[in-house]
Parts: sequence; C-alpha cells; structure tokens
Amino acid sequence: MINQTIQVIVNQDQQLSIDTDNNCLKTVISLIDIDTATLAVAVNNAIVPRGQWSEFIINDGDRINVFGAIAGG
Amino acid sequence: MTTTTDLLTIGDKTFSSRLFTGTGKFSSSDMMMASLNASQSELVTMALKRVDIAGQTDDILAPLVQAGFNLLPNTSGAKNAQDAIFAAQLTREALGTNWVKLEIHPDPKYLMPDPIETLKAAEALANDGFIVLPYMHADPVLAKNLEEAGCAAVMPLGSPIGSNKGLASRTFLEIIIEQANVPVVIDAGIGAPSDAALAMEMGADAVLVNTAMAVSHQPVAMAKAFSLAVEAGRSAFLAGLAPKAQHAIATSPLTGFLD
Repeated sequence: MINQTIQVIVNQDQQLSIDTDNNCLKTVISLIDIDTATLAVAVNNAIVPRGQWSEFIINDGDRINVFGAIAGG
Repeated sequence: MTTTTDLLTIGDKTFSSRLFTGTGKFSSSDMMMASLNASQSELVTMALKRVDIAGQTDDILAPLVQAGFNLLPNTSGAKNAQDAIFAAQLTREALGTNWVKLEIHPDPKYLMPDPIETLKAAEALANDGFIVLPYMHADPVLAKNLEEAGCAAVMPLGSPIGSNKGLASRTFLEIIIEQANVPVVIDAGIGAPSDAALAMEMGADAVLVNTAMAVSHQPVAMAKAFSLAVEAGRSAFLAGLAPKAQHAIATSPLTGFLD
C-alpha cells in the first residue's frame, strides 16, 4: 500500500501534510516545535483531552487549534 | 505583615494576601516575576491564545508555576457565553485548573462586560464544576444573580479596564459589598495604591491590579506599594473607621488655658 498524505489546517493559517499511516493527533502535535506540557488542543472546535491524543485519528481537512497561556489581566 | 488569622477563602483555596495580580503589560517575564513577588500576591491571572507556531513566545507560565502562584486563567477574547465556556474548557485542559476569571466584553473600546452573556456562562460553568469569578459591571442586582448562579466570588469593576481611573463606581460597589454572601474582588481601573486602600477600607475582600503596576516606571516598587496599601486598607476596615461629622469635633480641650 502506498502512503498517502492528508492536509490539515493548524491554528487557522498553517497547512500541514500528514502521512495517512501515521495520522494520530499526537504525531501532528509533535510536528509543531512547542512545549506540549501546557497546551490545549481542539480539532474542529472540539477539545481533545491530552490522554486521547495518541488514539485520536486526524482526517483530511481537519482544523486543529493549539492553545497556550499568555500574559493577561 | 499579614496576620494568619485574617485569611480569605474563595472556593477551595485560602489566601493570606488580598492582592490579586494580572500578568499583562510587563516589559518582560523577569520584570513580571520580580513585581509579582514584591506584591506578595498568591493568585495571578493570565489569558489563553492560539500558540504562535512559527515564532518564539515568552514563556510566562513556567516561572509562575515554579514560584507556586495559583493560576486564574481568564476568558478574554470571548464575545458571548458560548465563546467563554469554550475558553474555560480550554484553560482547564491546558492549565489543569478549574478556576476561571469569566470575562465577556464584546466591545473593544470600553471593554464593558456583557451582563446577559456573563450570567449565562456563569451558570453553565458553575454547573460544570468550575470555580467561577466573573468580571462584571458594578451592578448590585447582577452581583446577586451571579452569586445565585453559583459563582465563587464576584469581580465588579472600579472603572474601565486599564483606565487607572480608580473607583468611579464607588456607590454601587458599596451596595454590592453590603449585600454579598460571596467574596467581592474589585477588579479593573484601580490606578493607585490609594484606590486599592479605599476599596479595602470599604470592605472589599480583595482587589485585582495589573496595569497600574505593570506600566509604572518602577513596577517592582509599585507592586510593593500596592501590597502595603491593601494591607493598610484591610487593617483599617477591620479596626473600623471613625464616623464622619459635619462640624469640627475638638480633639483637645477647648477651655482657654489663660482663663
């Protein structure tokens, strides 16, 4: 079987290509060079708890949003 | 020096400092940490945002957690109840806390909190197990509604966010304080230590300060000044202010010493 790729949108404007044989959310997050300890991730506006990242399968066209803390009042 | 007998309890946490602080507008995270330490605050606010995947971000969270601050993430950016509920769920997932400063202000010019959406979101979040501290206008009726909705405290504004105009809403803050069965935290607009002291003398349970510290020429010194002011105001409230009078009441005997 030939590996295929799917396209996802990360944080509204960044497109990523993902191999379909390795398309769990955890893998996608690992492609982003950030500390994952204090992140929240939503796929198509639904939050995916950290414990489910490795089982959660990403599909073509999914919109992934990654949130973290910033300074604020 | 805070006495250990005068503690403030909100939800599941107890505080010896009645000064809460925001983390916004500091020139660097080092300056933020030095100022927050000088303030002796034990509860700090922060916001949530999509991470900048391409660029480096100044990590504010790690030093705060390491220093042992309690975190109060806000829902800033939410324009309605639905946004705010989603933001609160994100902060709970990202930061592992069920505390949330609920703020919904659709209008960027004055950042006035939307009372209807705030009440809707407060009910839903309290039912979902959140410790909800709503930013609100100084409206005594709304304060009672939010209390009945299950909020752990109410956070009425003194004046618009970041305006440093002090307690413009004083008369209504006094009514809220008089009627509240949950802690009242005066948030927004506190521009000087004297504003913070006044809020505490009026019987507020705590104040939240950010801009006045962060944009001071010397944030660390200003943080210390706020800490002292909050303590002084609280001590004065506990001692009980002497009554005001229309006429002079002599503090020395008025009998003429030459008589």
